[in-house]
Amino acid sequence: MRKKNLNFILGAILIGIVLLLVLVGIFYTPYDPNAMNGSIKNTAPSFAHWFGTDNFGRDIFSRVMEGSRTTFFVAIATVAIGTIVGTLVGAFTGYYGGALDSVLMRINDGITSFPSILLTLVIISIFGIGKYNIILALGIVFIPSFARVVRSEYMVQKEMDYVKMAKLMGASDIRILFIHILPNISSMLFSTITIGFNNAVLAEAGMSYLGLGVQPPDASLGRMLSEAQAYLFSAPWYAIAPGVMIVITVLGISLINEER
Amino acid sequence: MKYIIRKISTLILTLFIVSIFTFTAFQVIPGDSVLSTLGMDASPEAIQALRQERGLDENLALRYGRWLGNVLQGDFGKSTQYNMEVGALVSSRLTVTVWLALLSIILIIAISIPLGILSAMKEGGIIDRMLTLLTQTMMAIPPFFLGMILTLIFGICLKWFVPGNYVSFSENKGKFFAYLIYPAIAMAIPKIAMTVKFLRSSIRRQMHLEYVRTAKSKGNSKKDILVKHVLKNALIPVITFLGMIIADVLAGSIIVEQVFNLPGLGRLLVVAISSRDYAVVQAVVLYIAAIVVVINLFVDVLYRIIDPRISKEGGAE
Repeated sequence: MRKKNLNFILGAILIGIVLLLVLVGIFYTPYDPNAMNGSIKNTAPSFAHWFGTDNFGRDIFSRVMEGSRTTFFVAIATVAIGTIVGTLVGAFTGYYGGALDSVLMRINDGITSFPSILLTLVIISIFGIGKYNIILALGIVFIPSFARVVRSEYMVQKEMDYVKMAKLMGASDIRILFIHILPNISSMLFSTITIGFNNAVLAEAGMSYLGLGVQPPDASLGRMLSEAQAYLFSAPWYAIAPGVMIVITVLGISLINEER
Repeated sequence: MKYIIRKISTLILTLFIVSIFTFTAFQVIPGDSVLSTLGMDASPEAIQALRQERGLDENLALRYGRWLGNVLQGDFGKSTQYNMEVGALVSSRLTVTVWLALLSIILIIAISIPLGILSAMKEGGIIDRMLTLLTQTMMAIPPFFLGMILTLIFGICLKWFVPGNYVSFSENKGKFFAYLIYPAIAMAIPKIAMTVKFLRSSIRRQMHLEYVRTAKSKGNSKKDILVKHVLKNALIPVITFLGMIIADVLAGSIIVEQVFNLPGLGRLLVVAISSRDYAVVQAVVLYIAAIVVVINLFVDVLYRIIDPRISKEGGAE
């Protein structure tokens, strides 16, 4: 019991730090994240620049704040697409069943048996690279897993007495689906969303690292890591800052989710 | 036997659908490969000529049929960027990726299974708790960031390898593996963490079942029960899980190859996507998809051999 609490507290602290940086970053950053300064290229962390400066003399701490915001934006938008479309598909197929359900679930099985990175790459190569395209690509890739989880929950719930009662009382299908059943699966949905968010953060980082996601001069955690790679020897702090930011975000969320 | 035939026909069907998807997907894209070769200000005659040469002026089904026919004979067309046969290009890059994935998978199996058992045996103890926190942390690290950390530690600080360098398999086998081990570790660590977590909960689930209680009441020690009874049952779901991990590792190498500057399939794919070299993208996607599908089949069959209960259930339908 004690151990559970400890992990939860650790997770809450980590997420608190990340959220603080992201929220403050909306209104204030110590320096302009994109302001270049040729005289302070690749300087080590100091009081003036907590995380040091990069190859253009930009303040890494400010860029991490800005970059986390971009990464959060991409992750939230991705999860929103996955959740909304996935819930709709899952709710209807799970509730009604039938031929459409079996066809959709076959396709779903086929899609999920492929590694998501490969699928994302194919979609990106169709839509092209960029911040909004990566959201679209990742969102589409996320839909099947959400749909599958929601569908199985609806299949269980639709046999429950409260649903039968509601039906007897003449509630419409839409009302049953979204007013009666949806709140009952919210706990499971929340857990799926948090895991999805973590995966989205990691996926954004990966795609931007490959140069297929967020484009310069915009900062995102993955983009920063990709730029930092060339300076690993002369300015190792450049890679450490955004990398650690990703780790504490994902770790914090998974600790909270695990011990909830 | 009937089962295997059915599975193989599903496999062929899946690959067929993937091939249609990969082919048509790249036909609807606005910027076509002709323009990217000739540039935006090419004369209409030159564009038309190259379109004809590449067969882009015929209808979709016809082009798909011809493309598939060629692919089945091992001809994936020509790379617009490298100006060489895609088939040759892909197979020259395949060695690195396959060895990298293989090395990584060996590491995953060799490390995660003992650790998972250890964690489950000491359930609730200090080792178990530390392992749990450690696995949570490792799962949170993106493999490419791990790769950069390994480069920093072993490449730059300890100078055990030269970052960005690569020795080909044919050149020197020992050095080839010496360079491959770091990216393999980077890819393996998060997956090891996942597998440990999965195995631990799989063993714990078994520990609460009746047969364990029976074995306990007969006076067997916890270790005996674990080794003789539980492990056999607990490892079965892990096989399916590992099948998924293998597919993930293969795809994950796309990113990690970039960190270590390895000339594998992943690098080829990323460069091809950026330069809209679609013949290459199609070929790489098909290759990886084929490997993944075959691995899935293999895992499925293995699963049935190990756990005969499933094949009985399957036979009934």
